[in-house]
Amino acid sequence: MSLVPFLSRRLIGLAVMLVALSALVFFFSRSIPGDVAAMYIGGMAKPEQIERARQELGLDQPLTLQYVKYMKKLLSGDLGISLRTHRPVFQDLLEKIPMSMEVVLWAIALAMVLGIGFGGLAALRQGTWIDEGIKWLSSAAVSIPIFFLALLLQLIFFNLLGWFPLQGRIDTFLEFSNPLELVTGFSLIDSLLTGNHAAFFNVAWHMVLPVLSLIAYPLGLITRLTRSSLLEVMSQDYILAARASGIRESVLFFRYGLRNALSPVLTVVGLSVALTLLATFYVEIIFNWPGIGYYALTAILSLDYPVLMGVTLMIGTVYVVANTSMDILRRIVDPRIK
Amino acid sequence: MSDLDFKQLAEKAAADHRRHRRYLLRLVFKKRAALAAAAILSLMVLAAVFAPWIAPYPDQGKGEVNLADRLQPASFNHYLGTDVYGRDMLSRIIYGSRISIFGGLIIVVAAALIGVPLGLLAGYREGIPGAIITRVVELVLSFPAVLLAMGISIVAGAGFATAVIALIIPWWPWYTRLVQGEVISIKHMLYVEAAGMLGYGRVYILFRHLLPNILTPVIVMMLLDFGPAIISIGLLSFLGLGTQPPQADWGLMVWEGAPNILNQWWIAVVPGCAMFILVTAFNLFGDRLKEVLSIDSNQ
Amino acid sequence: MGKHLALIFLLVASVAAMANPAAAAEKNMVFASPYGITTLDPSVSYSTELTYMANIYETLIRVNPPGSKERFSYLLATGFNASENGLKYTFNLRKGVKFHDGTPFTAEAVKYSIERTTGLGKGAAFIWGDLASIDIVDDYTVTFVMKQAVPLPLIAASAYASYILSPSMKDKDTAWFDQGHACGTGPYMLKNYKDGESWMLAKFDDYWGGWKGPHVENVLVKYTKEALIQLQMLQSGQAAMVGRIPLDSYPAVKSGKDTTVVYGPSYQNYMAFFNTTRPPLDNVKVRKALAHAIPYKDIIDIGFNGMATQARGPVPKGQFGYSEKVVQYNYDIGKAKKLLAEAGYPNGGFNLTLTYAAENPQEARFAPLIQSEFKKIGIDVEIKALVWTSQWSQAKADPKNAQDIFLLLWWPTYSDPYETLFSLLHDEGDKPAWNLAYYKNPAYDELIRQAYETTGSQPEKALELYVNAQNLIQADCPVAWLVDIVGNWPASKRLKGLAINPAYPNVPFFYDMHLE
Repeated sequence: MSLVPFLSRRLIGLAVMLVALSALVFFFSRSIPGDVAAMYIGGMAKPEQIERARQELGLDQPLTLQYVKYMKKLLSGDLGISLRTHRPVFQDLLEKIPMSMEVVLWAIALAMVLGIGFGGLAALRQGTWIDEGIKWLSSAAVSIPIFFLALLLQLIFFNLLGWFPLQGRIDTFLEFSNPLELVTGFSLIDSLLTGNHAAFFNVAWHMVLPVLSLIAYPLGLITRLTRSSLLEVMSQDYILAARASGIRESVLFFRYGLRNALSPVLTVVGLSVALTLLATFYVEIIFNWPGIGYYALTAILSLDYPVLMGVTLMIGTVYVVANTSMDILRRIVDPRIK
Repeated sequence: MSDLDFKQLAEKAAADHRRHRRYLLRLVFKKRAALAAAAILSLMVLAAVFAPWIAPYPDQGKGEVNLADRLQPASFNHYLGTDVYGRDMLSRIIYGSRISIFGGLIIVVAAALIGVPLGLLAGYREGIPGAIITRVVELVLSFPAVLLAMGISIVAGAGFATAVIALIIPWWPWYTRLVQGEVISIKHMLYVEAAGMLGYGRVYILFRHLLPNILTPVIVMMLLDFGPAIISIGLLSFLGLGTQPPQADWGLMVWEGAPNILNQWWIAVVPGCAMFILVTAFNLFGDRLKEVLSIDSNQ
Repeated sequence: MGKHLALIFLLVASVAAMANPAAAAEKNMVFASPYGITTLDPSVSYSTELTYMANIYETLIRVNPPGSKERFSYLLATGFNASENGLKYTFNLRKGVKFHDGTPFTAEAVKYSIERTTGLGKGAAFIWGDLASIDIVDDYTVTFVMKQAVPLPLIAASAYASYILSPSMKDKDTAWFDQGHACGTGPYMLKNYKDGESWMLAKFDDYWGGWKGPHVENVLVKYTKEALIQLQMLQSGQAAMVGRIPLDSYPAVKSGKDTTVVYGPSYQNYMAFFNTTRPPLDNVKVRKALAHAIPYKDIIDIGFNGMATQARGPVPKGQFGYSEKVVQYNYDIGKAKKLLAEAGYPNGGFNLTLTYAAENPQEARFAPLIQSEFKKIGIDVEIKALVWTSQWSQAKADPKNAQDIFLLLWWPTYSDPYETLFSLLHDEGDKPAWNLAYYKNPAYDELIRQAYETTGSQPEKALELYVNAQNLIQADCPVAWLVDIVGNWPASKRLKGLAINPAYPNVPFFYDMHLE
């Protein structure tokens, strides 16, 4: 199969999946016993007002009709209004996704590079103390609950050592002198684009602890997988044959071993993106990072269903997109997949 | 051959099997890490089972408040200190291990019980049933699991039972996918096809030939899933969407203790460490078992 | 690698030094706030954004905290007088006031703002329900005509739905405001609005009060939900004041080297509704037994770390309508047992479900104390934390199948007890909204209406009526009044002028503050 039909098939699959997802989330979140109209008003809402809001929001119509209306709007990029902030969900998502993706992408990229490195090292030095050490560390990395790790990092690196900032994207004093301006939403890129170098370094400094918290799980996963996958590949007959024919060990390792071992690793990287995005729910609370995780969590806890729909669709899309792009990468890296 | 010979042969085969199992176990425990992990696991399981007898203050472990002893550091009265309500942390940890271990067990077993039969079916009948199951599996897997679990917990009302069910729902497809793949690869092996030609029924073949062969990878996966299952319960509890107070639950304890972490660090750190140790033990043990079994199957 | 790190360190350090001139810091302050913004439309606002709205917009008059010499402070009005029958109120308006966009403030703005609020009919607009018309007498005089004799000055001073905004915003809708726009007459303008992250309250140069004397000029509001982070921001000097800190850290912050806690009354209180529609709580003796079995002192000491007082009735201490003459239930486990025995439950022996809002950490903290105390009289309580909208809609759906005990945090919309007494306990028929005890008493409903209508003309008589009404309630005990909250702001010792006005919940008036 060549790339184009493969891609178009995946895209159709994606569309079907998202429609199914949206229906699921819609009927699911609307079956929650919660008074949507009352929440929309806020404060000590009075009964008459709630009734009026119910009509205004169209909540008095049958659920299926509401869904059809929702989908019609969705097609024009309108995800509705948040019940809590009363702002368009689409706009909120556009603002907040980059703030989270910035951290997530750093974490994933570093986890991938370091994980493949450590995994490769462990496989090369199989049975030595290096291998053992990496094994223990990577086991620990996948075993520590993310919320606990984030709390610990904060306790150690802010409270005890004072090396890294406590919270947020940027120091508060910079908000007076060099406030961040919104261009792309990626704070590092924005600060460079607007020539705000003070903010650039400050933001980078603020990102360290959140990235460290997020990195642990994918790093452990990728390290372990790289190691086992490499060991399996290196014991295959064709490698043994190649070795017997006198090809240098390093060439063997990098050219044939690593390359062929990467395929399952890339699958895991794809999965990790969505997982890490969910982990931001916890990291963003603890580090007060104003991204999508914080936003989604508040929405979950307040049953803000338009936001829940938006976030679910977004994470579903990220999941499928990440998997698809990793599939494409695998086809490039591993010629065996056809 | 007489009946006697058959019986002897069967006995011999069984004995061989037992000996082989013992050999594998010895192989597992040859690594100190696995041995240590197994020791920790058995200790924790024992503590969980016999909690009422082991915990120094069983009532506090169950949630009774003890306001006279609030926020005390470790002492001979309270080996791990006390929490916001003056409850003995050690007793809380011991009672909390019940939630983690029991919850993890239910999730993993239930996921396998749902996932494996569907996987067998999907693998064995690749036509329409297989396609349907595959689609459903893909749909569920593309849904962010924790988000789904959070949603279910909110709809059904937060609690231990809903949290566990909420986690089983996104968990089983992994088993279906695993089994489906295994079945498809085994199905075309000679002996299975031969059994089909000999006229044995589908169900018979399924249970006689396919099930035993996929049992090993399923068990390994279950062991390796224990850790993530325990952490997932913690993730829900941490947000108040799992076990409800005053029940002891490690994730919830970290959450409740977090505000006090600067002054009474033990309230959050002790349950966090407990969870970390338990999950690490499961992972190390599971890894080793997988390693031994894969060596075994290569031989 | 090490070299690069060191270089980055240096760069960060030097940039930080350049960007943080110590001299400017005195006029700027950081407020780490847990109060989010749900809308920025002053006509619609009815939630936590009040913290900022009251600094951006102004009302005609402001209610002073209890114990002040004068009842009101005059902001956009300089005085008012009422007609004999209490149906007409005439306000004289302040001259020379400008809105943030330069538009001059006149009577037209008053009429426009209140009519916009009532026209939209959202948020707390219901407080204007008895308004007949607003008549402009001249540019600086305006008359409110009411359908009934209601305490209009309190309504005009309400924390919600009474803000005056510029008529130049006529063509702007709520969505426009929600993008981060504002146009009031208050001392601060809204700037750099980043929803869910931070926003700036910046000095409005032409504020009618002027900027002579010490005032905070720019306030960076850093939205921070977690109490633990607020505590650390305060202790490390990153914030001059914060909204809330972990309960157990109050003593340390209060006696800290650089930190303190400012206390004051609040009109917020916690209560527990008993489900009066089904056994065993349909029995008044059982309800009274429970009211006596609630560990008020433990709730105050551990649930609030001392920052609360035992409630007397629905009206919090300090607010009009409060009186020592209202009967109070005290903790008395012996009496509770006796009452239970009289009711036919000598050793308890029944189960109750208690729901609270999962978002409320305070309720999570004291609910187990009630549970543990009820166990002593043989009652098993199942605690259910539900997301607020779930908790509330389950309670409203069908009383017969609803919870037994409902915990609620309440605060009045404006400084008058009628709204509280009406909302919480008047007969709501088969569609309960706030009366979650599902209590019905026509005599009570009549009494509070009479009291409301006499408040303007005969306050003493009104008070007497309110006391009688509250004692009717206490005799039936449909609700256990738990605690009145003590308001507090953890803050830096350098911050002066921070005070609490209970009529405006969680509002720090920044204009009154300065940094030393």
